Amino acid sequence: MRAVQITRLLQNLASQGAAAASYSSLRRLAPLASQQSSLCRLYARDSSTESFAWSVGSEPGASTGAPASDGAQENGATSGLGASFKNTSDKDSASDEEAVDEKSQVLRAAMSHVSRLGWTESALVQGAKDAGLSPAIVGSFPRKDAALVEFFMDECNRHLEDEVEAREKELSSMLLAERIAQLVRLRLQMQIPFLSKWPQALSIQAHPMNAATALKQRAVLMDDIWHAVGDRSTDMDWYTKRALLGGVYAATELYMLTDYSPGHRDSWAFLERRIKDAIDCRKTAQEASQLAQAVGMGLSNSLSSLFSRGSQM
Amino acid sequence: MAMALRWRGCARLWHRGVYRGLHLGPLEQPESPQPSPDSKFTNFGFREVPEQEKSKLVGEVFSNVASNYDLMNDLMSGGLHRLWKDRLVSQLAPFPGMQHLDVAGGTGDVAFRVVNAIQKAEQRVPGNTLGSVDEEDRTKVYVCDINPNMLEVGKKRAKERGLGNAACLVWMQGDAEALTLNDESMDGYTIAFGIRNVTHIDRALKEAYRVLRRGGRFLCLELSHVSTPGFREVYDAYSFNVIPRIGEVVSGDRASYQYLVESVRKFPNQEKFASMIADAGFKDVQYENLVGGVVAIHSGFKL
Repeated sequence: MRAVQITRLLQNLASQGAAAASYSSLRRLAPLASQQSSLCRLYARDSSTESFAWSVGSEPGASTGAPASDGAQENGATSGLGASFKNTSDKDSASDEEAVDEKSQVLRAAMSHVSRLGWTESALVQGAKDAGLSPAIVGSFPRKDAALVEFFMDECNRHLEDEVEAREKELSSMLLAERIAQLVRLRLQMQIPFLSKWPQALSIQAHPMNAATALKQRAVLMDDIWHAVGDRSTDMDWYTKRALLGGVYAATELYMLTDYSPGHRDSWAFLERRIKDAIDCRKTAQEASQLAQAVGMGLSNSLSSLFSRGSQM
Repeated sequence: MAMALRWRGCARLWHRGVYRGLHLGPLEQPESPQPSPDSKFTNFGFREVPEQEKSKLVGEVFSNVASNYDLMNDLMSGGLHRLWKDRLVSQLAPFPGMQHLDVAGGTGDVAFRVVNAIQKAEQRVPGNTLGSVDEEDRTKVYVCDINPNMLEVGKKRAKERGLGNAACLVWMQGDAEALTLNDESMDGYTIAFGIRNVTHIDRALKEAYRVLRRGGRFLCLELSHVSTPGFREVYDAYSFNVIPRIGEVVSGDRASYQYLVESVRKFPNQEKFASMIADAGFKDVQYENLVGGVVAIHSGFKL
């Protein structure tokens, strides 16, 4: 078989394997996947008009509206206890939704204490008091510190989506590299109010029990950014792009922890350099694969002519 | 065989003078005060007794067992009851400044654990919280029991642990069905191995709902039903044969422990009890089985 046919076959296989990826890249993670995502996603969503003020001492925002469905299922995941009592009646699922609503109120109120108390149970206790609930409700969070971190990550990701919609015109006039840099910068800026306690949040996310959810949140974030930037790839590129962006984001996040320059401008310069590296990396990879193809074709041509001459003799 | 056990139990109760007030001979039926047509009967172990009688009989059981209660708990559960109570308190996640109520907690096991957990939590909080001294002062753990003998044992144990004069421990005599505390005054409510002795469980649950403030937590640790086929027979054999015999040997009181074992079987199973808790108004009702269902921790929130 010729080398050209081999490479074409491999490309076909890759595109079939990425068919699911293409569907999800267009749908930005299928609804089924998002249902099973971290419990924070089912918490009450802010109205879009509410300001996203995470600065120290800001008023805890009032939680609004009805959260998404599957309250009963989520409570199984929510509580630390094993066998859960499955409520199937409508009244009970409504009451479970209320329970979820109260918990998101507590988490939101706790955010204003994080910069002082860290990502800890004490912050949750203060948050519960602010929300007018008994702090005994903190016992209902299975992984208390992680619940707070995951809530914050989800809120930031959701706010990023709103920002992308608001700045659509501005983004469409930028080059690809600038667009990515702008979005990553927007997202990282949301963490600045908590930068002093961010190492603690990272260590909580690295904990084995919390790592899976943290990884999923970051994967969704990378997917969101690429989708906002206009990525429509449907093959292996889909995976490599997100992996590369994940690396760039993580590196910049860590760099920011010790960046004391005014306005964090060193971090943004670092970010731009890393994006440039990533693009170069992809270019190099593409050139390498093209070179390999060319070499393969040359070899197959010479081999086939050798055998055909041999059969003639 | 259960019938034989029951009659022996009755005879033993007579010998112990439980029927002191009724002046019965050995073979007479217990003659209840002429039941009015609409008086109800309830379970006292496997026996049916009038409702008014049950709390009196339970009171007498616990007066008999109070002095050896902790020793008997250790013997019956092989020391596991300590781990169960530890788990209960860790689920509760106590915090400084908490108002906590432990019902039917006469000897103070759960209350001491809550106080210790709060003291540990106070040490963990960084010292710059405003009013931290006030928070420590505000902590109150109420221990409520219907039986004064159990409370006396509890106060004695508190002194042994150095908590004799602790301002945060409050010992009060009271009935789980009619608490004397204000509405919405408690952050946490625990009842460990006590709710099956209550005559009207739904009233006790409603009282729990009343005294808890919004966001407050209800936790119940109770012996419950084992559904695993092989293990259930082992557990039944252990309960009905070994436990009353230990009671007889250690405290000379077989009947009280017969009652204890029977009352576990009459108590609703995990799902039924969880639905009762939900009926009382609690949300997010969950339960966790320990030791395959021998013990269950039920939890609910007032929201």
